Amino acid sequence: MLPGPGGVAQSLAHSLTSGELLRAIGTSLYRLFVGYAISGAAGITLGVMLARNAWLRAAVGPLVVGLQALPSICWLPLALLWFGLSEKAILFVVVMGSLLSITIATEGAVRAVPTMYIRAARTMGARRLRLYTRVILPAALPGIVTGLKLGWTFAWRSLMAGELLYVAGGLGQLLTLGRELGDMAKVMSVMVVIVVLGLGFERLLFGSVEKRVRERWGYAQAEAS
Amino acid sequence: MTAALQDMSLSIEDREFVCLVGPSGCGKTTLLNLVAGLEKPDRGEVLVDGTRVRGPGPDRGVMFQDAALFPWLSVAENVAFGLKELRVPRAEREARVRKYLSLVNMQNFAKAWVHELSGGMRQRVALARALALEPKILLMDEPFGALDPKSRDSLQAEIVDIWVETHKTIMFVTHDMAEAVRLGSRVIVLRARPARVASDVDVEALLPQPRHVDQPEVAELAARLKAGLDETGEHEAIDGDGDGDERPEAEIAGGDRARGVAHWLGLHL
Amino acid sequence: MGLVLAWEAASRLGLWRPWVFPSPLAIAKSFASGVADWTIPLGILTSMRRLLVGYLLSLVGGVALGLALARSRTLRESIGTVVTGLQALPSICWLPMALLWFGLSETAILFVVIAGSLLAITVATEAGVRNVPPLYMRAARTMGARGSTLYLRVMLPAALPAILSGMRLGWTFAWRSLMAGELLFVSGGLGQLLATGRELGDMSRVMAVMVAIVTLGLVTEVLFFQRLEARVRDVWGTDRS
Repeated sequence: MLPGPGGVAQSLAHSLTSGELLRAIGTSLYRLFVGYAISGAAGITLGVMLARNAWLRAAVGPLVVGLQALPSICWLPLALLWFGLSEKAILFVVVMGSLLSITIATEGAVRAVPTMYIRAARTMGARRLRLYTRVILPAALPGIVTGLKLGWTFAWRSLMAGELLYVAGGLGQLLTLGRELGDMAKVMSVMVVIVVLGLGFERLLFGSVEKRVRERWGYAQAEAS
Repeated sequence: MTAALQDMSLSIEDREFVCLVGPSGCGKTTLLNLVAGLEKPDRGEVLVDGTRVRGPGPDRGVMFQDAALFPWLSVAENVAFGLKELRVPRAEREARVRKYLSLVNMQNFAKAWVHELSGGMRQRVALARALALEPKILLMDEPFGALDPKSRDSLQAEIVDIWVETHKTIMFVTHDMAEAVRLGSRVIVLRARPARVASDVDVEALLPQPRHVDQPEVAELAARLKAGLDETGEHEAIDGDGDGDERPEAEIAGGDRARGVAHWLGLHL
Repeated sequence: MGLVLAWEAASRLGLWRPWVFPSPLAIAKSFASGVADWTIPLGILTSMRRLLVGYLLSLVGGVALGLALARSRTLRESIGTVVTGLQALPSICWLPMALLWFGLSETAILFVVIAGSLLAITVATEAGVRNVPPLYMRAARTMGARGSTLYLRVMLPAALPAILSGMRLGWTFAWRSLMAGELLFVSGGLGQLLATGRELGDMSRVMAVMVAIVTLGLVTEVLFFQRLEARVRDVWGTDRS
C-alpha cells in the first residue's frame, strides 16, 4: 500500500497529460487568489479601523479574537447552509480562514507605529489621510506583510480543507477521487503537487519581499544576533 | 495633574540662538512642545510672529532626540518629505534637498537607507529635513543627547556654523549646562518646582563664538550658572561640567501629560 | 456584549430570516439543549480525547525527531527537505491517505492529528536546539558537563522557549486537523455535531457548536499556553518582540 516514487511519478504524468491536474490547479488557484485578495483588502481595512477606534475595538475586538480561534474548516457547514454547494461557499471559507489573522496583524502593526514618526510627520505638516498613507501605513508595513504571509498560509489550508470536504473541482477533489478509487499513487502524487505549490508560492511571494522589507525598515540587525 | 509651567512669559528675537537649560521637571521640553504646537496651553497663548500657534507645522521645524527618520525612504526622500507636503515643485525640491544635505555634510549619502547610518549621521539628516522646510524657527529637543561624545562634539560645532551661516532663529533645549553655554547666543536657565526662569544670560556678549567646551571661560560660566541655580534651593542635579552623568529628564512631574500653563508675552521673530 | 444585544434586537425585528442568522437567544437555547441531552459534552469529550492522545504522541515524536535532526548532519541532509516539505502540506491533505491505509477508523483520525502537529513541533525543536548560543554549551563544558547531561541540563532547557512556541503551533494544527477529520466522516466529536447540524439545516445548532469550539480553543490557549509561555519568558528572560 505504499507505492514507490516510480509509481507516483507515473500517476503524476498521467494526470498531467489527461489535463485533469492542470484543470484542478487552475480551479484551486483561482479560488485561492480571489479569496485571498478579498481577505487581504478587507483585513487590512478592518485592522486599520480597529487600530484607530477604541470604541470599535471594544465592541468588535473580542469577536475578532474569538473567531480567529475557530479552525477555518468549521466555517464550512455555515457556508453551506448559507450559500449551498457553490463557489461562494468555498470562497467564504477561504476568506474567513485568513481574514482575521490579517486583521489582527494589521491592527497590531498600526498601533505599534512609533509615536515619534507621527510627531515628526506632523511637524512637517502631514495631517489626517496623508498622515496615514505617507507615514502610518508605510511604518506598519513589516507587520502587515507578516500578517499577509500568515493569511496566505491559512487561506491555502482552508481552501484544501474545503475542497476535500464538500466542494467540487480543484486539487482537493482530485485527492478525494484518488481515495475513492483506492489509488494511492494518485493520492500521493496530488499531495506532492500540493506541497510544491504551497512551498513555491510562499517562498516566491513572501520570501524575498519579507526579507527586503525587514532589512530596509531596520529589523535585519536585530535578527542577526 | 500638575501645572508644568505657570506665569511664565518669554520672548525670543529673530536670529537668536536660545538655549533652554535646566533640570528635569523644569518644563523646558513642555515649552518647546508648546511652541511646536505639539501641546496646547491651558491658559495663555503662544504667538509666533504675532500669530497664535494652533498645531504643529512646517513653519516651526523640530528636531527630536530620536532622529525619527522614516526607514522606508532614502535619505534624500526623507529630507524631501515636508517639501512634498508643501507641494513644492520638483525642481526646487531637489535643489533644496541638495542644498541642505550639503549643509550638513551628508550630500554623499543621498541615496543611502536609514538603517545604514550611524546615530550622528541620522541626526544630521534630521537637521537637514527640518531646515529644508525653511522654517521661521528651528526647535531642537536635546538632539545630541543620545550620541557618543565625539559625534556630539562635532555636531555641536556644526550647528553653530550652520547658525552663523543661515541666521536661523534656534530654540535649543538641553539639560547639559556646558552644551548650552557653548552653543547659545542666549542662555535661559530654568528652575523646577515651580518652573520659572532662574537666569537669562546674553552669552554672545560675554563670550563671542567660536566657543569650545574645553575653554575655561565656558566652564566657568557654566559652573556659575549652575551654582546660581543651586543657590535658590534647587536640589536636582544638572550637568554643570558636561561629563554626562546627569539624571535623565522625566517629562512632567506627576507622570501624566500635564498641560503647560504658560502666559507668554509672545515670540517676536 | 453590546454587539450581542444589538444582534438580538435585529433578529427580533426580523431583519433576516431566522434560519439564516438565528438570534443569540436561539443559539443559547440550542446550546443549552445540547448540553442537557449530553450531545455537546460528549462531543467535547470525544474530541478532546482524540486531541490529547494525538498531541502527546506528536509531542514526544516531534521533540525526539527535532533533536535528532539538530544533532545529526547526515539526517538533516537526507530527510531535512522532506520534513520541511511535508510540514507545508495542509494537515487535512493527509486524510485521504489515512483513510486508504486505515479505513474509516479512529486510527485514521489519529494519524491526521499527528501528521498535522508532529512536523511543526519537529521544525521548531530543531531550530530551537540549533540556535542555542554556543556560549552556553562552552560554559557548561568548562563546568564538567558531558554527553547526555549536557543535553538534558543545558541544551533542552535553553531551547525551551522555541520548543514551546512549536508546541503551541502544533496544538493549533492538531486542533484544526481534528476538526477537519471529524467533519469529514461521522464518528462522534464536535466536528460531527457540526456536520449533523448542517445536514438537518439547524443553523442554531451549527452556531452553538461553533461557539463551543471557539470557547474550547480559547480556553486551552489562554489557560495553558499563554500562562506557560509567560512563565518561561519571565524565567528565561527572553524578549518577545
